[in-house]
Amino acid sequence: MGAYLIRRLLINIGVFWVISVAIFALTRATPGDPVAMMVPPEQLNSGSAAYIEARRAELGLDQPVVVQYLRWAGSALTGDLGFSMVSGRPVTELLLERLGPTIELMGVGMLCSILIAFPLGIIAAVRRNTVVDYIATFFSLGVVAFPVFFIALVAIYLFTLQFPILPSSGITDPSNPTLGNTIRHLILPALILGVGNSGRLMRYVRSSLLSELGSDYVRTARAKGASPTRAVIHGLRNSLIPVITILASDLSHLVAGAVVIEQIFAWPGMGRLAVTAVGQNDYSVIIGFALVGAVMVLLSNLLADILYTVVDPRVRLS
Amino acid sequence: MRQSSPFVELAGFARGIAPTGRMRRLTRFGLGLCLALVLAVTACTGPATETGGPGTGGGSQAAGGGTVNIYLYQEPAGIFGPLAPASGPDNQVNSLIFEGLLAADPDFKLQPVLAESFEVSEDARTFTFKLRPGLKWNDGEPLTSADVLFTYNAAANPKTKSAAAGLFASVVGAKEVAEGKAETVSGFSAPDDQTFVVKTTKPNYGLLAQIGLTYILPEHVLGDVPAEELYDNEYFKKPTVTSGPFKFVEYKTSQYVHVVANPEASPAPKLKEIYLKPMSSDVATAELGNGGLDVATVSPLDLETLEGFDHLEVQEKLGAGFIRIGLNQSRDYFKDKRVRQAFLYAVNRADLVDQVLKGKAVVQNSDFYTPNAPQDLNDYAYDPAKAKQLLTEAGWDFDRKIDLMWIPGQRDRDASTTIVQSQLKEIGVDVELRQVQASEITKIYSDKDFDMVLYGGGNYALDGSNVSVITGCDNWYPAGGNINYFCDPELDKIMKEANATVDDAKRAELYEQAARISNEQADLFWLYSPYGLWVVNKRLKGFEAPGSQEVPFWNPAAWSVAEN
Repeated sequence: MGAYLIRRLLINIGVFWVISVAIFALTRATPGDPVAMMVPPEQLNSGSAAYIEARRAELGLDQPVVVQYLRWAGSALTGDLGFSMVSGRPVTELLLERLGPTIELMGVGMLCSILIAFPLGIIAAVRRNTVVDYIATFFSLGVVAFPVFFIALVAIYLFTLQFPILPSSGITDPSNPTLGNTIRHLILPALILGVGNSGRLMRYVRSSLLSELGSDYVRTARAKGASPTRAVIHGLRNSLIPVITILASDLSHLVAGAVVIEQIFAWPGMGRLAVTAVGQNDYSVIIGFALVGAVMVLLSNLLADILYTVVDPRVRLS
Repeated sequence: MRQSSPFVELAGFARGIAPTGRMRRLTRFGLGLCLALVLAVTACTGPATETGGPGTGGGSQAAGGGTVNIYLYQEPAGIFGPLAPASGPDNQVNSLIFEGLLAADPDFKLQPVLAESFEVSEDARTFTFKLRPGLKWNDGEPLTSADVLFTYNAAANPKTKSAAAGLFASVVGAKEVAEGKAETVSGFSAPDDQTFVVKTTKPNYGLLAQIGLTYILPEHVLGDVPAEELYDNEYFKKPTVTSGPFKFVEYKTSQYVHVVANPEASPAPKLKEIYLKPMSSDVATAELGNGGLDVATVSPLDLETLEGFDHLEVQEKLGAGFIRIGLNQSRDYFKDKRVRQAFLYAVNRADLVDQVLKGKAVVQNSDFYTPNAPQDLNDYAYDPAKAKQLLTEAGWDFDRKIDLMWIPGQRDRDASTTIVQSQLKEIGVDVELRQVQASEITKIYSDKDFDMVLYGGGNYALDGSNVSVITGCDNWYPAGGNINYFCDPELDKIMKEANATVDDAKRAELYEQAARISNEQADLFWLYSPYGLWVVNKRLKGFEAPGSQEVPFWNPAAWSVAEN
């Protein structure tokens, strides 16, 4: 297990390096640069050309891409991801500041999706081909089919405009940041993020549990007098194995979903930071965000591997 | 032997399990937990809106003060003050906390702010500003002409990374500073504590509008910082020492900018505090409706939704810029003015304004701010037959394919490109639409690699001389913003003459002449000048819509919140 983890970590570092080169190359391959975007064409004046040139030189954008990468990678190794080319603030500071709100949103969102998907998936499997199953299936296909931003906009219309019981934007009320206010601001975005992801998850729980319920050991358990509930719990444990893979890969879905949700609900997370940075071609922030995303996906895959051994003792990591 | 299928097996299974109801409870628990959370917390924490429900006074305001929430259409870059490149949301924050010698009022007229009065010499080369007596920074220090001198020297010096340095080019000694031969601009002087004087190398009345609005910085805070390090000074990220009616508290990135009343300001602001919040326009519409925002700009489409709310009122304000299509006149086929006129005749711009902007715009017919331009300009009313005739006369090659580039993403502009494309097609001009990124556009301009470009912005209301930036023969990109590569020596001559004229009436007359030439030459393919649509909660009094969405606010000290 220990050797396995070390090997996986080393491979991940290699993957991570390849990702960093790819992201760096991609940002530099986009046409134009952040400095060019700072000066709108209708505001050009006789000093603009000199200004743009000076700022590019200062940010090192006039250097060959390889030199730019080596410089960046050199300081990145020491934990310094450079400065935002727009606001001048350190990228690590910007990312750390946003990490909290994003994890809060993703964590509660994931919890909501589990709390919805598992009970729904189980009951749909157990009461297969009944009205309950059809309703659950309809729900899951519905949330998969409707884009999350649409659900969010409908929810905003309903719960903040027609029946104004919830706030529609921000992480808290800045003039009155009580715990209650903070939780109220979390409800809509987290719930919608959770609902949006629960559809897929519910389908997997249902089909995975169905195949377990049809297997011999469940029948044997029933034959030996185990109560139906107990038998389902038996099956459920084994059905978790594929579901864990889905949960881990859901993490990347959550990151993607959070980008949209954060944008709509003015949530000060990393997704919003990334969208703004892309709009401004703020290279260093885009790269920083992409690297954090890469780390999260790599780590969640590793986590899934480890969790396999926990739920299924037959699996050995070697 | 009985061989039952898993299905039969399961059906029995399900029957067996149903009476226990446990699974059902489990489902209810999951769904219920999330919903219960919603209800419980909502019940515990009272009304949902943050500064009071629609039209109410709200709970979080102090007596005689009040909290106001304002929408920002983009996230501020976060570098405030006069040195950073122009950015709409940052500038709106600036307009609450900083003050310049002058400011533009909602009618785009220059008004003295820190200055008590200003005077322009007969030759339009000497500008004298008298400061109001008793001015103070919000830390109690006196604000004098030394602060003004310090600020103007910093703003004119490219070493400070001042994005506006080029605007000072006509000031005596600015060239020497730009070339590194001098530290300070000799054309700026402060003969006494209350007086600040600017001298220029050539007549330039428009300089007032170009540099008179520069936000003044405190010398006692920044005076010791070397020019090279000034821009990166923490002050510009957190400018707490300013002179405006409000005092900067913090910028929580992606959340809000918080400013509070400055007790030293005179007149004292009536509000207690303001939050400026960047968010998407959809949410802003909802927040206007539920009272979460007091002020926001909206699109003509959202306006219909919001007009149904009794607690909201709409203020319309014609913008200072306009949406136009630049025609690359470095290419021979756009050099004939009949071609440019034909394009204007070919597109039903009045209909475009009605359909796409719900009538919330004015058709533009010259480079000048429409209310300042002569009323009898040729309006190039829709006439495809005439357009075709003009094109034929000009010898247009009907097999030619031309491109129209623009940065997609704004509904009215996206729709306009399609309409222009289809209506030009009707007169036999084949247009290919070309979407580009904002970041690549300056390179395309440098390469002159386009036929037509749709873009907007500019401020041509404050002073007619700004039009030179987009028409002047010596302002061809990259020397200036003339990306049409248009040049008309006669227009240039009148523009220069107007800019050297101090008498208001004479100057206005010269700019009218210039507008007629522009109208005749059709140097740009003008489309429309949109109205800024500001939706304001009626509880907020004294707010005057400043123009389009990116325009700085006017006189925020006068804003107040009505008590019920």
